[in-house]
Amino acid sequence: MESSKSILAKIFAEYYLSGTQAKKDKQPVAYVTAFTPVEILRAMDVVCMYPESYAVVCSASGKAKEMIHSSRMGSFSQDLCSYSLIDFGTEHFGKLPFGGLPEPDMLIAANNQCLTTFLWFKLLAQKKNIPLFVIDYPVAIEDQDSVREYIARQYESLIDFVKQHTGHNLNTQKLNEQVTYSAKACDLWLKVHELNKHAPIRIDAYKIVDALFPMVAAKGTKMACDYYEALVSEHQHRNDVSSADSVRLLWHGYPMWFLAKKFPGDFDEKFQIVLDDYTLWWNLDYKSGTNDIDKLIPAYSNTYLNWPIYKKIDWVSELVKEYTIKGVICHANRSCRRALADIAPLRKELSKSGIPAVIIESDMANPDFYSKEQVNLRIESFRDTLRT
Amino acid sequence: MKYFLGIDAGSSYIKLVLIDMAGDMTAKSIIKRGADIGASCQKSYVDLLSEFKITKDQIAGVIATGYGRKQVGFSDEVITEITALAIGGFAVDNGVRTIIDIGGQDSKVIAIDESGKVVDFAMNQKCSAGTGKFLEVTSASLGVKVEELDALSQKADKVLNLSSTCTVFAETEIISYIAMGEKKENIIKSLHSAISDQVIGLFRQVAAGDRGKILFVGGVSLNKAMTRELSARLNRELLVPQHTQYIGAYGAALCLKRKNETAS
Repeated sequence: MESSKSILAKIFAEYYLSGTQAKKDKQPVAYVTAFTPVEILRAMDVVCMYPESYAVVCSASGKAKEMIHSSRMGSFSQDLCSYSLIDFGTEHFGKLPFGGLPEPDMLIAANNQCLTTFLWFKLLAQKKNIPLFVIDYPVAIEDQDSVREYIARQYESLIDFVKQHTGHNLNTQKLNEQVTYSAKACDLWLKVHELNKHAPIRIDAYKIVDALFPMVAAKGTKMACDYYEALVSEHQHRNDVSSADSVRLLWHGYPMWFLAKKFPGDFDEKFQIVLDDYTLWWNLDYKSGTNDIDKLIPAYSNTYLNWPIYKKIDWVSELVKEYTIKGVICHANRSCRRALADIAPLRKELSKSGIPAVIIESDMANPDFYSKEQVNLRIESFRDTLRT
Repeated sequence: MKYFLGIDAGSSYIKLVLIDMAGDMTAKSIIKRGADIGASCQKSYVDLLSEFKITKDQIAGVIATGYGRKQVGFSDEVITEITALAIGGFAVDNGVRTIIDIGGQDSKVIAIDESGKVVDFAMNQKCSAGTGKFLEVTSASLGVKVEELDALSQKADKVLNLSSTCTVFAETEIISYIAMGEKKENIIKSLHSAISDQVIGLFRQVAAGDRGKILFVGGVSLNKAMTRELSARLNRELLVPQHTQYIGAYGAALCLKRKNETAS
């Protein structure tokens, strides 16, 4: 079996080359937000690029600070989402990682994660004078027929929109292939996390974070499935990652992309983050629905960030039980207001069930909002609390 | 006679406490932190030994806590302030279940159980609002010394709206109030109210906040106006221990003593 490392390198290369190649071949390129039903777009031969994922790459390669500074020269406030600031900053920046993203021909935004992405894309649309399509997902309180119909109608409009701007029709066979591989990738993605369900853990949580990219940018592909299969196979029998009696911690929320190991603090085999619930946000449900388009409705409306707070708290509390978590580190990520809103009530709820939690304030991509000493002090103190 | 030395290398002051083998505080000192924390601690250590005529051979161990704990090169151990304050606070009064500490650049609320174990804590986030620095900066802009705050605060007849989230903005607001002819006493009362807002926010986050006695420690607890304001807002009595600025250093020294006893 090919190694996961080698497959991941191919996925990265293919993704970035596909953008460049598309421009050469005059194939349409769309910028999409993280939870856009790309299966539809790819089944219409549109190459999809993720500016949020690119912002992650820029942050991980140490470029975020300068890019955000560049965006501020364009009068953007530093209080905006750091992904959007990085994207705005690329315009004034010299050498970009992977040569940057190709120019888009259209923009597709979904509000199932936040409203900032929609406003960010709206600005891009005005600036680049290209069409924007926005998919509105009502907050996923319960599965209602009227909501399903509402989203289904928008998917029909999306297909019309793409057809109008590209002349391409929806290839149902391609759509089926995409949806099938997406569903399979999600099953495998869950298996990757479940490697750490019981002690001892089999894979460092930061390595799971590093493995997220195909789930975002290539999930409707066979290669993504091959990658996760290889990853599970390589780690399922490992027993050198932690000791069986380590204190099992959950990282709640976004990782810090600018840190080499994605989480701050000095963890050792006695205190280990076994899970970051953020990476599970991509474990979408493709199983409900009578046809391929129908399956994309719950998959993209029932996303973590589109849940009401009580549902988010229930989900995290359930993970705490399933993964026998002893303490939770909550990342109050100032860039993401939707994720930020659940932190205080979650901490309170966990505390009621005897699970200690600590809140640390920072940012997912902007290192200017990361104070190493302050964060480490909170994590060390938390360790002391769990140890005594 | 042997001693254990606890050093609390705080963001504003460095506090040293020597305890004897019985755990009693036998000597203490406090100095303003210099630019080089390690050097400030070293000097303070030498001065303390000299003042109390103790030789280095009599020191059974050194432990550091506080913001600069890792820069105390000669310490044998380091612990976080949360643990040190919990041990020190519980040793002062074992009926204490909540400790409020307002230091130079941070404030924290710690909940402990009936055995003195930390069960929860909350700290201010990335700004100095709700800390001693907030009071220092804002009172300086009024031309008032910290020791005058209590008497002036008692003469206030109203509380003004002040930013409780940013020291810099609060200072700007104070300047505006002065320009509008607002009474200094009212501004001072409002400063205490703004700090209380922050600390009460932390207090409410902490699970055991409504049980047992509350100990108020740290440099800001020396300011009676602050104790009064917090006590009134929480509707609870606050205990301010005799050596309130030294509780972290004292708790650290006790921690080291216990570790040594367990090891032997």
